[in-house]
Amino acid sequence: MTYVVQRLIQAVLVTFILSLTTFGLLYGVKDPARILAGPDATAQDIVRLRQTLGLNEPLPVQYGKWLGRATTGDFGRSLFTDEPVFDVIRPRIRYTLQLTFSALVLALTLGLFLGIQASLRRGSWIDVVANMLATAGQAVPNFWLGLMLIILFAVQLRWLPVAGSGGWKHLVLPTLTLASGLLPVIMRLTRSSMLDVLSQDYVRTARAKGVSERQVTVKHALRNALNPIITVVGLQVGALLGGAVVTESVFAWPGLGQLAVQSITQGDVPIVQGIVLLTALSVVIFNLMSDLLIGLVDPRVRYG
Amino acid sequence: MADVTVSSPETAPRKPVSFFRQLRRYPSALVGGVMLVAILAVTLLAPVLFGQDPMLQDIMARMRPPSWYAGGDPNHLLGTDQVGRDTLARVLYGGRTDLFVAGLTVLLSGSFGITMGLIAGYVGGRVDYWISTLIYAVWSFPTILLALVIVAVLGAGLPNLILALVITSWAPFARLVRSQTVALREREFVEAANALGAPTRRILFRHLMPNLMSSILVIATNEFGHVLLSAAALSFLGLGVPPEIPSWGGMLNEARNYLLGMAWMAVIPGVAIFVTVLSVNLIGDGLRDLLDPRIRNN
Repeated sequence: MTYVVQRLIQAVLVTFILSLTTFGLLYGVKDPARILAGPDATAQDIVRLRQTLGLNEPLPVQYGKWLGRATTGDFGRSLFTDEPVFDVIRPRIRYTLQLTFSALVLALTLGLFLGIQASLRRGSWIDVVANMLATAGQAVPNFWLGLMLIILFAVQLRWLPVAGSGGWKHLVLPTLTLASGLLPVIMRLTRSSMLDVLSQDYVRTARAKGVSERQVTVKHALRNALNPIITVVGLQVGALLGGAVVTESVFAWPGLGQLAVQSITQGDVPIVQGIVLLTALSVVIFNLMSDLLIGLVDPRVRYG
Repeated sequence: MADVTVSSPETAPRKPVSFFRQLRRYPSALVGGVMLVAILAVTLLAPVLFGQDPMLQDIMARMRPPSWYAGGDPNHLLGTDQVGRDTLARVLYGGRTDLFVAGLTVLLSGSFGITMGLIAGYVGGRVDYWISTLIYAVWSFPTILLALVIVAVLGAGLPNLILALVITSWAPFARLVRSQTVALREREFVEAANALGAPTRRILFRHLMPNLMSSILVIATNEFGHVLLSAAALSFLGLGVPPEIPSWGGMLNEARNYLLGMAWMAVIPGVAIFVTVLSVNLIGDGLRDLLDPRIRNN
């Protein structure tokens, strides 16, 4: 129980640090009034704008107000279109979820499968090939892989669309691109974690008492090997969302990442704040869940 | 086996001779090492080996494919880009930029992360809690997104790019060093140093850190690859290395507008990134196997 409470308190602290950083990064260093006023504005315009935006108040007060509104989902309005930030962000969430989820599922199923096969048949061709794929996969820049996939499947073979969104065909190349970073991590980890577990005494005992190889693999080995895999997948969610930023830009996939890059280039501070805080918060929640999940699966963690 | 294991901390430090002898049994480290030395040599010697100026625009020779294709130009081995700059020269000079950025970033983020990890692990208590929470917070930001925002706020340029990369890449070092320091803290040699009145700083950097060097080395190679990929991604998005300095990511950024007719522009810098990261990862893999007694004894 204390484990859960401790983790919750830490998650709240982290959320506080995240919000402070998000606020500080953009309001502390850049003057939104100047961006909003445009290059032709007079000094007077900027002063007036600062007044209306509440930028003359002390920073802690501004932060407090910003945070208060942010908790209700109000991140202000876009500096350029004057739309509420939430309305701009909301239609994008679905696309990013679609992309990251399909990449995660692909990386997990293929990574677990290859990792388990490689560990059971150590030194066989499947082990060698899986290892080579993983080594190569970790060295490939995913945006470049995306470009190569576009050249091959969209430009040369014309099987799949170059970019944009629509049917499932639009999702194929971005999913492959995004999964390419995570897949090797999961595969290698599964392999080494399974090898660890397979050499344990209880696995030998299970085999000795005549448990079928399938049962040994799934019930005795995999269940115990899963623990580090869950931790790392939790830790990789941030990287996955970061990868989505790049992948979405390559394929003009209309998710949060593409919006983030656009807004950063334009200097649309409130939208960037909204996206950064939202994604960071979802990483915190995801990590918390994976930690609690481990506590559930493995009692040693809870009391350790 | 009679040799000493590096990963068990209480043993004496391994002799360098035996380290290199061991290295031969790990072909991946050897292959990676040779690749990396070759890459470093070619990029560092670029101005001497190839007279081409990476910025020189030759409008008469623009959009030339690599020389082995029809229409290729023997003066431009890997072709030219949309304004007639030599691709080979740009790849080599771009390599210098990327290797410099990644190398300096890993050096800085490593130093910072290791220090934070040592302090958190050794001092413990409240200090540990706050440093761990900070690590957790940095880890929660999607790396590329945070780096993008930092560069956008601070303005483009190499120093700001490196700063952004350092801020987003120190956490893995700190995390690893912290957890290993916690395990080492109770060991006799630390207690002995403490009892003899060694100052904390001496204990951290003289007694604890040398015992962690092997795992730090492994994670440093890993992070080098990560940082190189992140830097390239940022340049690709137009917020990394400024366009006036050649870089692999920057070349890919330009290439994406010419995917239809000039695929080589996109292929070549990507292969350069791939080969470089691959060489460093192979070294890291080899080191990991070498230093992991569990794998070694098998």
